[in-house]
Amino acid sequence: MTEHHDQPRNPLSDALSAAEHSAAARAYEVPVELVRTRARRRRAGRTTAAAGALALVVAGVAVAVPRLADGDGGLRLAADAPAQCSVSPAQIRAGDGVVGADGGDGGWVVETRVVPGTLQPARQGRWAMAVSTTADMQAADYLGTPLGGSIATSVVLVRDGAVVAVLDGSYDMSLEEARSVAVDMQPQPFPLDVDLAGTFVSCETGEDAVLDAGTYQLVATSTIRFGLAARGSDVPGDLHDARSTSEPLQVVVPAGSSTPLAGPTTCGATDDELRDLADPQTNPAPLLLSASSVPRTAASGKNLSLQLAVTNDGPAHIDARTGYPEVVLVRDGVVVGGPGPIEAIGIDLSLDPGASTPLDAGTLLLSCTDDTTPLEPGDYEVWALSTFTPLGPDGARETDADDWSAAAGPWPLQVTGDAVVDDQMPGLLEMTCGTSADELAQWAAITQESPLAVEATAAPADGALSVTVTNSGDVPVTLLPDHLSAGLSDGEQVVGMGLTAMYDATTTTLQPGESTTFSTTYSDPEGCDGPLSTGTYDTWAALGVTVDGTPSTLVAGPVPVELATP
Amino acid sequence: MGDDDVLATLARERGRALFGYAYLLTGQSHAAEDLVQEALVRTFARRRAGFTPDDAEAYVRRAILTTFLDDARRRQRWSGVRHLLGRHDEPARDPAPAVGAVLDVRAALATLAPQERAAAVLRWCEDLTVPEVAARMGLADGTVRRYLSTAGHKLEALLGPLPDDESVPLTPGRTRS
Repeated sequence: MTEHHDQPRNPLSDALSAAEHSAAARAYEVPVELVRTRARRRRAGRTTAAAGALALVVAGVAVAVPRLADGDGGLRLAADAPAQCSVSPAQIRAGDGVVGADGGDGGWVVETRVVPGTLQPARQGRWAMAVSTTADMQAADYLGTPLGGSIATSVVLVRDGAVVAVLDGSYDMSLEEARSVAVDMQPQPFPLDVDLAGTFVSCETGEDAVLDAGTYQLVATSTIRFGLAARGSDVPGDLHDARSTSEPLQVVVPAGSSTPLAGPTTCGATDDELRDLADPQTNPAPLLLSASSVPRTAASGKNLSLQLAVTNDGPAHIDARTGYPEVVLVRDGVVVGGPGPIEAIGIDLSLDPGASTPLDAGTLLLSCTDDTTPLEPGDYEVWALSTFTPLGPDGARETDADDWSAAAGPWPLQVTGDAVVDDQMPGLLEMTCGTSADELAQWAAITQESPLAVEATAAPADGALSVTVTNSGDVPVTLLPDHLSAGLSDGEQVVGMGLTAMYDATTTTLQPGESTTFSTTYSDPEGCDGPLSTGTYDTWAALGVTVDGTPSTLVAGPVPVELATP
Repeated sequence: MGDDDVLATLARERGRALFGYAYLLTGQSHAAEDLVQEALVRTFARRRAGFTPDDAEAYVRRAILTTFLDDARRRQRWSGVRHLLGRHDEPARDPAPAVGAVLDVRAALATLAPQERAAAVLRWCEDLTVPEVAARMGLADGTVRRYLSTAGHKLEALLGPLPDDESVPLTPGRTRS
């Protein structure tokens, strides 16, 4: 018999069993047929859907749009073609609407669109896009904040008036069906953005689509649930369900190409178009993209963060909407890395002539042909591309204006082969009132195990607490600092907090042996339980910083300081 | 038994257990459904000879863990540039009502970073030793100890003391699946 030490009862010992018997588990059924179909497609060797693809569908939902008889529209359908194949584009849109508990639409207007600049189409293989849904009501600002969640998103390709392909894993849900399902979601503010990635399934063959050259229309349909949350609340009431279909987005597949055709940041594309878009002589767009901070070295497989700026180079004020720029890596004139899926948020710009505004950008240093393989070490060029949608005085898209694109680069980048792996970094700590000195000491010990040496010093003359970070490793390290806070401990726990210094998103690259210093103040601290008495305290520094793409908290201390004035 | 039969048997007999495992990792039932589905697709996309439901369950559980950690790494990369108010990298707490101790455990796990949560589930829910956790996660023992140390402090603040003898199974005589 094995002897065991006396142990406290493990409070997690029944957690697995409890989760298996939870209400959510009892309500769960494996969608066996769906799994079979997806496994069969993946087994056939086609490009797999991205692991991060979001199919925001309640399990077990069936498409509830009316089916046409086979042969309608002249398109022959495969036996296992997705249900959306049987519906005409007009019928897809006919199911749109907003319904509340009273059966009315409550005055809500819900719109869906495919976010410009996020669409990465492919003639054969994986597509990526972001679908954004908004909900507006004239009185909304006065009644609360609209919050909601996406229930289902469907994306189809239309050609010659018929649906010819459906994005694998995307689902359409009618309003009637939405009203009858319980949805588990965390309500979010609008716009509701869904990132999608995957292959298109051909309606004719039921297999992954290889598209003929020509023009297609991409149409997205979004089904959501939402309501108004009172000010200060994150729980929406007066829930409504809505289904909305986007305006068709034209996609051109040219003849003779077997590579994805989505523009200058497409994997395998030459950098010719990027050069044209970066040159004001060849690109008439009034907005210019430039860089204020680009690392010169970075570790393969890790995050590359850039600080860009958008400048109004034209003669008139510009209101426009953009998103996070795409960042790609070019080698020998060909795009070989990036962009990864980009969080689809709208960034509104309002620039007078000559004015600039910062714009963050980044990408993982992975091969664009396989987004799990780190780039080979070596020399690359970094390019960034942004697309801007001009807005009218009412903040809506200018219907008569085309989007602008602007590129910036190239910037030389040396990709190194060794990286500060994320399991060497300490993780995240929030130092606050009550944080124990033991925990801080443990974090400081963990920090010292990382490739960064961190030392805290105090300057009594001005009450400054400085933290010097030194790269004690043998590869460059990029730092994106967020904040530095000072905590005063009585030896047991934090009893007062000094100032927290916040930093602009500026990336610093430390070469091996190089140091950088951050400062805040510990004097005049705010006591956790009233003013601190005079005396000696242990001061701890907690630096929130992203190290080579890994969010971390570096802790240093304790540094004894004297508080002379309560 | 053909693959289709194995899948059907696994779904019928172990579907809820797989969901529960994914639910502990993600903290959100919808994310757990997606995770289970993706893990099943990955497992059954490859034909295997003599594949039994028990074999399949082991594969699927490993795929659930791997996919969960891969997804977490993908989400982390934008942490330096996220600006959205009210949105967080970590899955939100499941709004479905839960009772007493069950809610405490899920809420406590939700406070952990993904790697910490995975290590905590493997160590304190699945009763694996530190070397076994390290093997499952593809990490060094020291790294796992670090995650468990951090996770343990956070969990103990909410749930009370945790066993700290890392070499000994937590539940004598308990059969591991």
